[in-house]
Amino acid sequence: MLMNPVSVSQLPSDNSSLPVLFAVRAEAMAYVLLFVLALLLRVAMIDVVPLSEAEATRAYSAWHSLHPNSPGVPAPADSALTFWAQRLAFVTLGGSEFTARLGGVVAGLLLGALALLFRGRLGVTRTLFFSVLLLFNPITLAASRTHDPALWGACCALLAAWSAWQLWDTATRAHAVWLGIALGGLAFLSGGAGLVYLLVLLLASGMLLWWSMRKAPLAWDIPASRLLALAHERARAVSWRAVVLATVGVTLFVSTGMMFYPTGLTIVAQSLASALTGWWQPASPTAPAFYPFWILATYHLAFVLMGVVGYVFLARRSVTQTSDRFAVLVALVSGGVLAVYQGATAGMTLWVAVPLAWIAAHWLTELLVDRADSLYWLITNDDRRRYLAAHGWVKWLIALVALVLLAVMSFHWQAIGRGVLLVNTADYALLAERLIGEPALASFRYSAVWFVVMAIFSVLLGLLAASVWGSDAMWQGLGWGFFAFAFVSGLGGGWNATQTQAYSEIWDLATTHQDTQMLRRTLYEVSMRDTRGNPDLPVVVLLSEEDGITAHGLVAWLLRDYPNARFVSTLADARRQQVVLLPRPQAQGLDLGGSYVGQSFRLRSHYRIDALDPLRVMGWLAQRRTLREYFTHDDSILWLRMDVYDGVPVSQRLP
Amino acid sequence: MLMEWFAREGHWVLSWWLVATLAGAAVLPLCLRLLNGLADRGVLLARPLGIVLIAFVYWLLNMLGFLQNNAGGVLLAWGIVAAISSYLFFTLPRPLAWRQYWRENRLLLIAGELLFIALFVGWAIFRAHQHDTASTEKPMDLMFISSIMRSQTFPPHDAWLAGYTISYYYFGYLMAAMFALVTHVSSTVAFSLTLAMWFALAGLGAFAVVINLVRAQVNNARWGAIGAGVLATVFVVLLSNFQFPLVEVPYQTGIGDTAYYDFWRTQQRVEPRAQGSSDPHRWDYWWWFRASRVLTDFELNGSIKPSWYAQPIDEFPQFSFLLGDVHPHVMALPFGILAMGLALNLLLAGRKPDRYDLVLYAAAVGALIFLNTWDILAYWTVLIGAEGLRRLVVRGRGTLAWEDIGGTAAFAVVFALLSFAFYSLFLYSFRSQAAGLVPNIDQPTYFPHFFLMFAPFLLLLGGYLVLKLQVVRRNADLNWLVGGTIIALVLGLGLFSLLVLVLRSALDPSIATAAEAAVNELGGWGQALPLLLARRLSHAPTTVLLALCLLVVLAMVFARPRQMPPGPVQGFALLVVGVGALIALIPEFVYLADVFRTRINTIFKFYYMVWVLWALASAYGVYWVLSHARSAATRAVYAIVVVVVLALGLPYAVFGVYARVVVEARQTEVTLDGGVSMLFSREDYLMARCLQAHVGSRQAVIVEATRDAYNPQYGRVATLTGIPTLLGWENHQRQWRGVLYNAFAGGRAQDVERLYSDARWETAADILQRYGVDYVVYGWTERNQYPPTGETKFLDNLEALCEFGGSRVYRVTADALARLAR
Repeated sequence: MLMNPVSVSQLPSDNSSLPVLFAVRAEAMAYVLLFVLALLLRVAMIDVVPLSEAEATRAYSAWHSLHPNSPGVPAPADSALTFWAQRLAFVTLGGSEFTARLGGVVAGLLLGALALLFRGRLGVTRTLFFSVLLLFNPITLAASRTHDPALWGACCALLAAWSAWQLWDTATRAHAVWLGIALGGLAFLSGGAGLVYLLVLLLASGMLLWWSMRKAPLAWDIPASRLLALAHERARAVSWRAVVLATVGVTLFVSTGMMFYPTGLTIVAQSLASALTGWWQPASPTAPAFYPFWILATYHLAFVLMGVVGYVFLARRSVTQTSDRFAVLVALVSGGVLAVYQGATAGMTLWVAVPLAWIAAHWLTELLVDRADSLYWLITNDDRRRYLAAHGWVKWLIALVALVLLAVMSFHWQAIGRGVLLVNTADYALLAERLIGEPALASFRYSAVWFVVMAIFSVLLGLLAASVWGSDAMWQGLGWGFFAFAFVSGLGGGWNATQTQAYSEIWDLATTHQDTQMLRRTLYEVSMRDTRGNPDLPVVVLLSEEDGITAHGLVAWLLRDYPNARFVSTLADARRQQVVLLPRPQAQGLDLGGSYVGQSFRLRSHYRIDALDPLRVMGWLAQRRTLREYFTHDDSILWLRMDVYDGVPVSQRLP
Repeated sequence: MLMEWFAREGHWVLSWWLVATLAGAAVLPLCLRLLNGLADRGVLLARPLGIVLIAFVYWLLNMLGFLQNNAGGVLLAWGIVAAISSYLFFTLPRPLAWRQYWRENRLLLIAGELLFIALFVGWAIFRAHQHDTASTEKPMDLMFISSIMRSQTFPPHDAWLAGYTISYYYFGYLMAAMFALVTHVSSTVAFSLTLAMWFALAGLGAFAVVINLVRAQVNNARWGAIGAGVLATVFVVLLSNFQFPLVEVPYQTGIGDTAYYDFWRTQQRVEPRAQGSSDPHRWDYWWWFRASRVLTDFELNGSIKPSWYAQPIDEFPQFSFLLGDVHPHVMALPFGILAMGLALNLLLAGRKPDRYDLVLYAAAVGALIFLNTWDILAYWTVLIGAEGLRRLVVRGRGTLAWEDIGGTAAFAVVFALLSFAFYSLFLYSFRSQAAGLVPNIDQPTYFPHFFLMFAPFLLLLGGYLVLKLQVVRRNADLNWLVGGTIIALVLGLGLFSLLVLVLRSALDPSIATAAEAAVNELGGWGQALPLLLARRLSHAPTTVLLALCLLVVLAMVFARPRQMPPGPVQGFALLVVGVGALIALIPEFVYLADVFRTRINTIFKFYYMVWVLWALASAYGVYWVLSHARSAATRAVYAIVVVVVLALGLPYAVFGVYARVVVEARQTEVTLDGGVSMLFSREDYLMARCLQAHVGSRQAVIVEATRDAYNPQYGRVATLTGIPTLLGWENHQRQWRGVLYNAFAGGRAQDVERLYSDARWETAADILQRYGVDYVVYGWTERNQYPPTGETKFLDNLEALCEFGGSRVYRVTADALARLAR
């Protein structure tokens, strides 16, 4: 019995004396959610779309290193990180579209995770935004789902930027080692483009120093020469020996698989050769001029706008930092290089996407900061504080309205695109006449009018909102609304590019047709019958570079586990063989020396975007289709000898 | 026409210049740090140094399996060398005052660059007009380049012996292949550009060595140094021996009597020509070839040895480039000169060679093992001699202590061990045709021949040595004792070697029997011995002159100074002269035994080295005499001698180029690509290129006709494409592989003969199956050599591929091999 009765409120609380074992923060939860979502977006249905020629070439190179009996002659790999990622995936999980692209998933997630390195400098919010923009960017998403080697380069570049920043502040050996690792990965292990990207970064760094020297007297009240001296001093303090050793070490160990695969150094050599030849040799024969800019305009336009507008916004608020200037320079120099680098691929637009994401993250963070500077009737700071506390919700309302308006406008934009596509004429005058007068195109006229009206309405609404709640709130709301719209539509764009509409997107100008999966299934079924499921079918494939059948690309990948398959260079070698795969153009007047049954399979479609009618660009951008046929196809025919087709037992067949 | 050619093929020339320049750029940081003994810090030698180091790294990584043979691998090797070079630049504490350096050297560097461009472009123009790839052993050289370009891994396969790798020193061909891979040219274009590039590299190297020698003596020498450098270039790559002015011109123009030619007694020029002419168009075909056949071996009765006897060859660089064979001794030329430059640096650096120096020397100078093994004798001796000389200069007393001798020996051992270690992978698989030393009893060099061969340098160096002797005597006590002792040792060693080898030969029954038969032919030992003695005495002037030269050099090198210690520069020039004399002296006593069993190769390789050594020394000697001789009269006389030497030695190049370009090649197209003109039949050429496109990078074996060596029609498809053929030139395969050839490939020639001659398909199928042949070539050569019935079986059983006129390639299929003859 208690001697001194106490009230409940006087009792000690349950958890006051217990040790804190685990605390879940909202930030951690947010990241978990983000990464789970990002993983799902990357992994979902990743094996539905067949590997493209470029993907298949890389995958086959890794596959052949594990299975030398595989038919075909692999092309030299030029990205050691991609090569080893695929090799490891094949060893553990077998060879498939999924495992071939798994490395890209990892690289994509890694890119988002690397944003956390900057948390100490950027703060929680900005880092989160940066990570979101890296993970859910249409270009990073597409690159991730197609295991583009440029993604590894982007990861290494981000790591290099972080290490360099750390070295500037504290020239520790550990950071020097990280820098060396990042540089080795970027220049020698991520592919030919990595070395070019390193040159971009170095050039941008030089330009940043020059820019900072110009700003130094006004911004920091120090002479330019002092800044230069400081840069020299910091450079001298770095342990360059550690950097070099780390670069050499990581290059050697990764490319050779810790010396278990010495020939892996050839990949580094090929990477250098690719970097050099890319200046005059296009990556794809059907790539249009300034192809990377086509990619940016198609998939990343909103993010480009965010980056540009974001930087202007930050500059007007005088909150730009040195890192923002560096990001701008990287984006500009990358754009310049991509304009002249003939070997530029879609994935290389990451060079622009990543720095723009940096700026956009800063901009979004600033958009969260409420200001009432434009409300002249608020005299004191207390007035402003009270006002903002009462009206903080305004920006979200404006954002919602902006999102709705943009969504509606996008619907009408799609309708406009449909309308343009409905008129099949190259005559501009006739096109205008039909668009304006034809009754069937009423929805086009309706949408066109509404689009213009919505645009004007949006402007008027914006002005009205600014007059009531101030321009700061208006820009915040508009910015958030635009970001939300860009985020959703961008995700959709990235998904479409690699999944839903992969066959008519320009992310890959030579998309592999789904017939190839049917081809593989057909071969498997014949194997089931002939060789009891063992892949011993003696398939003979006629090589034809102009028809897209090579010994190192898509067809080699499709036949990767058929050790008895052969690639031959003349038709005579294919005569009288049991199973023959020939390019379709060979079918005319074909004599294989016996009776055969053939089935056609489309291997790939080449999208001749450079042949696109300028008038239809609007329609294509909106609908991803055109009236005219802008495709050329690589078709093949699988020929089965009659006895094979009829299922004659193997022992009774002709040799 | 020249502009049209340049518009068409100029980009090849530019790309090769760029690649060579970038190779030099990779090692520039290394040169600036390690070659601090040279006035220009080795910048002018950067190109050959860069090429040899990059090739070494590339070859080593390929041999170890880290790289494959492609352009990317070459780029990576370049990157590795550049990285190491940069690392050394930033870590070694030998700072450079940049402004002062540029002020002092800019004129020389610009002159060197202009000289290089002029030499390269100039000889490329020559090659465009004379792109012969068919004569002498050019097909062999082309085959090596094609083979290496086509090999995905190392060691590279031998395209003239399917299934085997190259058994020859192929480092030079590898360098040519590397250039071709990076610039994406065919092997036939690379062949021509290699000659032009190596011509320029050798010329630039000579320029660099001598200007550094001059600058080491007179630091502010500019135009004098340039003049001496240009002279060195002329002496090395443009000058000829005196066979042309003293024998060939009189012969071709019909002047001179029998006594005159009998005095010189050179091969095929013992009597006046029946009808002489002053028009070069009417001269003998390939008259310029005789300049390399000055030395002649005689019977003991005085007559010239019969035509089947392999007479000595005495090439010199201008002849080599005119002829256009891309042989190892030509490929090694710039790198031998580079070795001279590195030796000079060792001497002038003023410090003991450290580990970085040793590694550099082993990689760069040790490469001569792999380029042309013979060359290690001269250039390694100069390098090791430079170390001894450095110690001598440091002592300053004209003597070496035991410590110095030990130190020099240690340097030599470490350097040699490192060199062998670096190139051990080559040595491991290399089979030399050398089979020991043979005593030279009856063929010492006839002095008029020696004079014809080395007259330019005998005159120039003779004057230099005489004047130098006078100067040294004024300031030092000549050390005749040391000189005489060493000479006596050398001569004694020579005689001793002779006796030992004679005794050894006497113990060999086969040699003893042959010797006895020869002696009996002369009438017994009583007759033979006096003849031998008379031969040695009548031909003694060469030996005596060389011994005297060596004596004088040694006496001056080891002279005890009365006032100041001797400078290193004079010592280096004397060292080079002395080494040249020593090397020229060796064949007077012994020569290397090979398949020819004569001194043909020993004279060939040794005299080539002597030419380079004496050419460089002469250029410096000219500078020294004209700038340091006290008396104006002496300088004037010497200048006249120089003019005479140039006047007699340069016309060969002029007339030779004219003959090659205008007289011989007037019908051919101006192009660097000698592929088409290699073959008699254009259809064969098209067939070969078609096969090359068809096979691509896949492994394949072909078979084509084979018979004689030195005939471009045999092994032609393999030569052009690099695709291995069953057998190319058997004669050469026997030389390269020695006694092992019979063991593993001895029956191939007969099998090829049967394959084409026998009308039965069973015979052919058996041979094709046994060797794994994929393609049978049947073109112009096969059609002219074998009976037409031989092709019928191919027509009936194989499918024709790449058909051009009557030239076709048959593809061998598994079906065909299994099928019985119809």
